[in-house]
Amino acid sequence: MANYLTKKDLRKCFLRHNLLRNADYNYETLQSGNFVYSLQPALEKVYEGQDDVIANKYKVYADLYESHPWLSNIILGLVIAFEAGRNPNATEDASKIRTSLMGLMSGIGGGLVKLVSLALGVTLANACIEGDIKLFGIVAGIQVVLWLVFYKLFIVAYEKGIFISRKKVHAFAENCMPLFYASLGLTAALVMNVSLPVVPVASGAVTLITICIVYMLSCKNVKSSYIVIGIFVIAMILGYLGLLG
Amino acid sequence: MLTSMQIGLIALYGFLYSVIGRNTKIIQVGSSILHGSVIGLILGNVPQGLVMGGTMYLMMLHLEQDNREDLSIAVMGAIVSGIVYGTDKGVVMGTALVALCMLINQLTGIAGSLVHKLQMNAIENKQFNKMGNYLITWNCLKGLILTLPLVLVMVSDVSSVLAMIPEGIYRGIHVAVSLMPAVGIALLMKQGDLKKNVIWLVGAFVLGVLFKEIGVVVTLVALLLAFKGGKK
Repeated sequence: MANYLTKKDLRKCFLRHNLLRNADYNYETLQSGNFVYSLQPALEKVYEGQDDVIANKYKVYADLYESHPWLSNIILGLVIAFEAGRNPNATEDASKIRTSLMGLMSGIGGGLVKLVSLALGVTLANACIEGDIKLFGIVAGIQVVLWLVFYKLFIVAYEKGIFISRKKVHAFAENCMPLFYASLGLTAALVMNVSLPVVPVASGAVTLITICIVYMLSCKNVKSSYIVIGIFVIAMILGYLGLLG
Repeated sequence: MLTSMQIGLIALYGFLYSVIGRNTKIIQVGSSILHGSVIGLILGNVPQGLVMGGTMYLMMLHLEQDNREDLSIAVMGAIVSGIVYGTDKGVVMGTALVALCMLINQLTGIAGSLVHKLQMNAIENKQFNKMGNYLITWNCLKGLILTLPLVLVMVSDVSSVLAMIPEGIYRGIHVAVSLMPAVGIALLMKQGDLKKNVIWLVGAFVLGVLFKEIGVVVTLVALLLAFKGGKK
């Protein structure tokens, strides 16, 4: 299989993905604008001169996407690897793997950060309040190293991803979906527990009702931006009137 | 009082953090301490900067929101006030700024949809290079907008301005911001085959509500998945 991409191309994709991750963060497609932009150097080299093909691929990747800042690099590496294979089904497979991995990676990344915060947070804060910055220096240093490790993993994901077969992609995506939905269920429970602590019982019900309403509206193809603005305005009014919060 | 040079440097730090730090998120644990150190250095009082950074980090930990990027400017504002006027005033200022920063962040999220539309138009017209121009321009503009509360804290007595905002507005912002994650969850639910996986969604939700302890639930879900995999 021809390898169209050099390390320099991959580095360009990585830097775009990391430097502008939340640039056009929005409630309609979350971080997908950056994902499309990150793919540009790779896609335009692999499919050089085929603007229609590239545009269609961009449109697929412009669909909703969000993941953990560090681990999202792995997803990007895999997607580029699939596209670099120039397989006719590359975008379909890559999109499938992207959807099935984004929740999983968010969970792992968020869990990792939470674990470090739980284990070290109070000690770290107290040390700083007492004027000792050494521990923070070590923790910050570890995070910089981790960031570099995830750059390396991005390259590894690209190199390994080239050899992943279609069958494996579908099997993996199917196996990951329960995890994706379990992480959503767990996040919903956490949001319910912490979002509106002033009125915990009502807040739980309100969160659940909001999830159901938004899901039903999005199934009826109502634009996400309209849903977000609607929910925002209604919540502001209810909060202002003291009916919530 | 702050000198123009100090105001300029802190504003520049806030802007650079909003433009680069929010995206790279290299420092996810203890970012408040980083802000405390840098702002303390600029103001020539690193020990007080560390006290404020550590205090804000503890507060964020307590709220389980230690790496929320939309609060970083509020934390910076609190640190500046804490160094200039003392820790108590800094904490009060930080709390007051949170609602304002959250509102600005929500509004930039809504405006982000427009930028995404411009990006999609560029794709439709095969002007791929324009995608990047829109993203970079909006990222810088957003950085300026997000830094505004920090500049206000430094150049005027924002507390009196913030005190003029009715409590109902704060409550409204708090409720609206609290409900936004629910919107995100609902939109993500549409991404896969919900019917086939509804049991996992409901199961993890029920376990999450019952145990309220993320570790327990993750372990239980992992065990169930391992059991399912083993049966296959």
